[in-house]
Amino acid sequence: MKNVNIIMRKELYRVFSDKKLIFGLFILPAILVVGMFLLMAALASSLLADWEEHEPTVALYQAPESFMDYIQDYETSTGIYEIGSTIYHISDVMDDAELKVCKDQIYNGDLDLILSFPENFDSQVANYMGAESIPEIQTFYNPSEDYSDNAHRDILDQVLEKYRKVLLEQRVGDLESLTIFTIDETNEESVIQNDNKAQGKLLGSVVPYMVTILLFASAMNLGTDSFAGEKERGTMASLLMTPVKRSQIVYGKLFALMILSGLSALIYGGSMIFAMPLFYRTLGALTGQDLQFSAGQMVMLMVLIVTLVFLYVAAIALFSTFAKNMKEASTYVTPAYLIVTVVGMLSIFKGDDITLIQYLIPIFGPTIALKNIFTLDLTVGGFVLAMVSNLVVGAFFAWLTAKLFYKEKIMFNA
Amino acid sequence: MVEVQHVTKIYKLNKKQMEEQKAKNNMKVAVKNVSVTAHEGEIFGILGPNGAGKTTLLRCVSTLLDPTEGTILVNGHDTVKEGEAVRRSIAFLTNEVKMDAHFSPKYLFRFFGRLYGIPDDVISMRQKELFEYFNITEFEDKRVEELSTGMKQKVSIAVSLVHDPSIVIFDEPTNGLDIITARAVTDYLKLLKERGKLVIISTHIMPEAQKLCDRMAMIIQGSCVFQGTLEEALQGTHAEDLEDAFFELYRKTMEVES
Repeated sequence: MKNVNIIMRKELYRVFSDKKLIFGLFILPAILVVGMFLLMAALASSLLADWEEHEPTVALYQAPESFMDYIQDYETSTGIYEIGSTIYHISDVMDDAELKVCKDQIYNGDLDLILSFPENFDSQVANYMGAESIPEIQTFYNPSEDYSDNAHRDILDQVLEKYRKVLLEQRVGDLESLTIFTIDETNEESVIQNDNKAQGKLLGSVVPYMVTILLFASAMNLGTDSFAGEKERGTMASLLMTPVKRSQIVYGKLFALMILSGLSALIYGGSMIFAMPLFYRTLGALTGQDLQFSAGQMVMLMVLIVTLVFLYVAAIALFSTFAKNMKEASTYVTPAYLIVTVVGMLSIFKGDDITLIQYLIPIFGPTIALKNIFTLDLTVGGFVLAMVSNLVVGAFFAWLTAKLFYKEKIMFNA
Repeated sequence: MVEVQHVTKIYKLNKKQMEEQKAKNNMKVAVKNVSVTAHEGEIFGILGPNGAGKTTLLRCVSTLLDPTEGTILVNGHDTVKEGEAVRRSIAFLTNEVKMDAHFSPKYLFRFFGRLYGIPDDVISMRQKELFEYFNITEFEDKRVEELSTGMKQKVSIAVSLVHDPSIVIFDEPTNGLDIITARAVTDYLKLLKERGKLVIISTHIMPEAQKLCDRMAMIIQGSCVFQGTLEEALQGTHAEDLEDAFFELYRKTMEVES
């Protein structure tokens, strides 16, 4: 154990005595994460502001008198229309030729919406003859253009729907007579939920994915350098020439890597927790800041993260030991990184229906367990199995790495 | 004492290595049935051209490689079965074994000293002695990457001797060194011999071997073609110096081979 400690301290000292490494591992990630979130928030709010500032253009074809009367309420003294808080420019389309031109404009993004009414709309509405003669208003818009898509949605909700109600009221008199029942009109306590779980559901879908990827990413560069890098530089041979057991060299390096990648991931995670509210505040979504963890949840979270770091570090060590140099090590580790990423993504969509035994599936089980801590769905059995999965697979990788350290073909390419 | 008994080392080449070495067979015999014995208090030379198998033999003695056949005993310990005990009593210096350039000589000396289980006060004593001998003291806190090639070599030697080993194995000791540093190294090897240590060096520079070695083994194409003192080498080949003696042995071996 003494030798493991000596090697571990040397590995840690190597990083902490190098300003560039400290900056790259611990400071730059924090700056990048906060900067990225701030940039995203700025871009998102500028996009929203742009939508709000845009004044959509709408063309009406064969608009009936009743409709013109209806939208007159929205018309301002300057001839433009103010619906909600948005200014609309509404014009008439004279004939089919002009309608075709307007459709081209929609396609090119120069016009946002066309409302096309059938001929004699008003008389068709007034002389209702049954389901077969219901008049149809056609809309033309371009969903790939944000302005057009927004205008289409807003006009349908705020103008056409209300216009329909006005006409309906004229036909049947009291609209309430068409209402058979209402749902939760006066019930303010309809939602019965654990707020913590609701908050956790949001965080639980993102955080495990982030944690698992960040842990792996943090361990990747350090791990490949500590094993393949040392081989490439010839410094590994100097360690192998000492009377220290090779397994002790491996464990010393693994523990140091665990500490360093754990710290790096903690900084990543901390920066995210700090930066996420900045982002969500802009969009008005849940921030998760009201989320409260019980002591048990905290312990489970910590244990799972620590054992997951062990697994990742051991896997990276194994792949890097096979490699002759850093370049080769990166090639070997990248597929593992992709697997971790895909499993992380899967965890966003899976989790509720996982069976107890599935917690044992390496990487997948523990990632789902992380998610289920947030949603309060993780049982003690599931937690134990996920932890065992990490430890057993991690220990197997570490044991295999130590075995490889005795192979001259692997260590000296002999 | 180092006893190499009928050692053969065969490398298994992969396809890439076969292409690189233009080999038709995937088995390469690097060392062929070599038996040599070296004793305390002498400088023993392993001589031969590049690619003869000198480094492979020394790597086997140093436990970095396992012999395919035969055994090697270092102070009575088998290099395969008791690798840790062997490594405790030897220092192996070669260009392939390097010091981590990020650290200072002082840090490396202490780090390796602790790995050998040496108490801190003894490490300090050894450091003082070796750093003063090799003039490392003034740059002991500088990173190795900031040092010249000669300085780096001196640091490697000092650090590898931290545990005061009874056997020092040196692969091409003066390779790439300037004349001053090379002299400092060879002088130190003589000093080690005077202190009763066994020094084993490999070299293809015959004048250097002639000056340094008490006894020697000549390796040509993996086989040991001669083992003995300088005088015995000269007498056996009727040569005037070791270089001529080596060429005579080389010529005879090639004749037999063809």
